[in-house]
Order: sequence, then C-alpha cells, then structure tokens
Amino acid sequence: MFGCTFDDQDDEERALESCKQSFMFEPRHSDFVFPSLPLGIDSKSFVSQHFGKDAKNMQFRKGTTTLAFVYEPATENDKGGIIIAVDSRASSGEYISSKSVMKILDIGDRMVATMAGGAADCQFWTRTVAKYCTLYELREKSQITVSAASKYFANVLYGYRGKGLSVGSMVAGYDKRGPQIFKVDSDGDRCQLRVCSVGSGSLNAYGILDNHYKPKMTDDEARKLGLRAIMHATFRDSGSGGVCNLCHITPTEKIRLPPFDVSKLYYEFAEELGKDIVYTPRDD
Amino acid sequence: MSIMSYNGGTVLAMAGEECVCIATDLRFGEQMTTVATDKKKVHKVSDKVYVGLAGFSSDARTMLEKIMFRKNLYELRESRKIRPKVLGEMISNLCYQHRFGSYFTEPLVAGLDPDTHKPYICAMDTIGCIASPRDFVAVGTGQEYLLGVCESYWRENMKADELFEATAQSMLSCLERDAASGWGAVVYTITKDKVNVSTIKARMD
Repeated sequence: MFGCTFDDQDDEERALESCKQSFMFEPRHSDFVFPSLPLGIDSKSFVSQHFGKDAKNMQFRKGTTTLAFVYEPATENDKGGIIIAVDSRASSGEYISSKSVMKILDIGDRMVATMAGGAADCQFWTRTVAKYCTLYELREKSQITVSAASKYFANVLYGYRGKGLSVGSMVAGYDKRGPQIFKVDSDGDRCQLRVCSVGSGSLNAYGILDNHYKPKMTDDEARKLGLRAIMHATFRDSGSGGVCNLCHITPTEKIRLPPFDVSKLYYEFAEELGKDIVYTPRDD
Repeated sequence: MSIMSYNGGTVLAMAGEECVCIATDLRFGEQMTTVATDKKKVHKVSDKVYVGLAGFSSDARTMLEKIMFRKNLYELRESRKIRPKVLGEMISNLCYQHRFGSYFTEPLVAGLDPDTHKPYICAMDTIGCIASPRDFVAVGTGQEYLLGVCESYWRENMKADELFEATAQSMLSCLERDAASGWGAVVYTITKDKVNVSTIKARMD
C-alpha cells in the first residue's frame, strides 16, 4: 500500500482515507485500573497494618520545601514570569534517603510540577498528567492551559481521595493567559496563587517570601529571593536540605538553573551579614 | 517520633593509644524544627574525664546535675580524682536506680585514667547496661550510621592526630545521613598532656 504509485487522484484519496481509519484514531483513555484489595479491606489501614504506622522506604518519602511565585519585570531588560525553587532532600523520619532528588518535574515545554509528599505518588501522577497534556496538544493542535492541566490533576487525585495518596504539588507554567501557579493536593484541593510554598519547610519559606516579595522585581532579584527562601527553610527544617534547584519560566522559554548547595549558601550568607557562626565551647 | 529523638543529637567516642576522642553535634531541635545550633552534648566532669548525654535534652540536663553531685561527693570522700571507669559504673548505678521510670538519655563516658593514662570509653542504655569496647562507642539518633562508618575508619593504636581525623570524619559522615543531628560539631581530643577542643565545620541543612 505504501511506496507504490497511484494511477489517479481518487485512488490516492481513498487509500489515504483507509490509512487514516486504520492508523489514526482519537486517543483513547487507558482502561488500566489498579487491582483493588479484597472487599472490606481499606487501603490506608492495609498499609499501616503491614508496613507500620509511618512505613519507611515505601513510597512514604516526606520532608520537603518547594516554592513558586509569579512576578513582573521591573525594568525592560528583565523577562519576568515564574520562579520555581525546591530543595533536594528525600527523607523518611530522621533518615536521609537521598540528597539529590529533582523535585521539579516537567509536564510540557512551558509547564512544570513540583513534588512534595510521597515521592512515588508525585512522580507517577505527574507522569500521568504529562501524558494527558501531550495527547491533548496532539489532538487539539494547541497548547493546554495551566488551568486545564491542573484541573485534570486535581480530578485524578480527587478520584483516589481517602485511599492514602500523599501529594502536594504546584503546577506552574506560562500559557495564553500568562504566568500561572496552581496548588494541587491529594485531598483534591486546587487553588490559584501568585506566591505559594508547599512542604514541611513551607512556613519557613513563607517567612522569607512574604517579607521580601514584590510584584515587580528584576530577574536577578527574583532568583535570589527563591534561593534565599529555600536556604532559610533548609536551615530551620530538618526535613529539607541538599541543593536548591531553580527553574525560571519566562514568557518565551523555560530556564533550568544549575543547582546551588544550600549549606555553602548559608555560610556565604552568614559572612555577608558578618554573623559569627563559629561555636566555641565556653567552659572545659 | 519517639521521645529519644525528640531533640535529636549524637555523641561519638573513639579510643587510641594513650588518647581518646569524644565528638558531639550541636543541633537542638524540637522534632523537625531546629531551635538552636549551639547545644553541645559533651560535658567535662573531671580533668581527663568527659561524659556525653544524648537523647531527651531536659532529662540529659537533670542527669548531668545528678552525675556531678555524685562525682563531687566521691572526690571529696576519697580525696582523689575520679577514674573514667569508676564514673561509668557510677552513672550505670544511677541509671538503674530509675529502672522503672528511667530518664530518656543514653550516657557515654570517655577519658584517660589519671595515673596510667589508659584510655577508657563506654556507653550505656537508658537503664545503665554498660558496653565498654576497646575501639569506639556511639549514642544518639545517629548511632547506627556511626557504628557502620567507624568500623572502617578505626585502626589499632592510633596517635592523637590520627584519632582526631578518624573521629571527625566519622562524625561528618554520620551528619550527612541523620536529619536529627548536625549543624556543626565539636571534637575533644584527650591526651595525657592536654585536652584539645576543636569545632568542625559541618553542613547547615
């Protein structure tokens, strides 16, 4: 059928039509379902019964600081957009299981999701959303909005409400409506925010963010603010640490910045302030 | 989280040739939050005898006061300096007196015998079971990490400078993996001539 020549136009059109019918169809939703537990057993109590109350090394890796904020350029040389900053620690209880986790996950060319809560839950469901977005763009021949993507995410999570999923994600990106951030969590909650932080160190990050955030900033100022908020959160919160990963989404591109060691950053910061942080025991 | 890891903290002691090292981290936390970064868990008891108290901070402090009381009484009665082994047994006895309602702290003793300069290290559980190996002991939230690391750092008959290096490196490795300890560390190197105190730079996250 392919490669051969056609005698007249009609034959070619008919062949193309049959090609389309047999190979090109509307994307179908996967009919995959998670095997459920026998009737009467609740998935949440199943996990706590068999893996202990705060099951270690399962999907239950917690302790995170993630933040994102929208800002407008202060000068003509700045791009503005969204800054997304996260730490890189994975821990279960006091045990640090990894020091170099990438908690900014790609959804599309211009959209990312951050990861807080269960690592496996976040990775899997973000992948599901990314797939949905790709299929949407192929089908509709236009970019999906951040609003639509986050709503799909929230709907999926709502469908599994009460089953013990642990997800706290920020879907951030630039679309035809401009820069947007949506906070989505495993309770099924979804809300649009301009300044947002999620995770065990979020309150510490908010402290810095609320103090220094301005709607109009230079790019350098904005990146430094994200970095500093993460650094201070990692200092106070033992669940956060490692390096700070930054992502800057501008109206034209998505820039991933190289990781910054938060501990080095802390020492630089202390030096800047002229703060003496060297401890010397007074007696003995 | 258990009460033993409510405040966090780790203490390590290593023995060498006529010298011992005792190291402590500096974090004082309340569960996940770091409240202070200048809280050492090692205390001087006598000239060359140091005690480390990991675990619940307020119990550790009460315990230290009780230890000092008994040790002072001992030194007055005997008119001589206490030996580390004696102090270990004294603390063990104190711990066991609270067998049915123990303090949530694990004591560790490190020191040199004032006469023979023989190194002595020991650690015990909350009710006073002494473990006194010849190589190294650790107590606190980072105990498991430390024992593994020390196994590869420790060598027979280490001199004071080697011993310091081994202790400091073991401690830093432990702090990399234990979220409840860190934010700086202090190492005491006890030799027959003097005690060297050095603060080491650690990660601040």
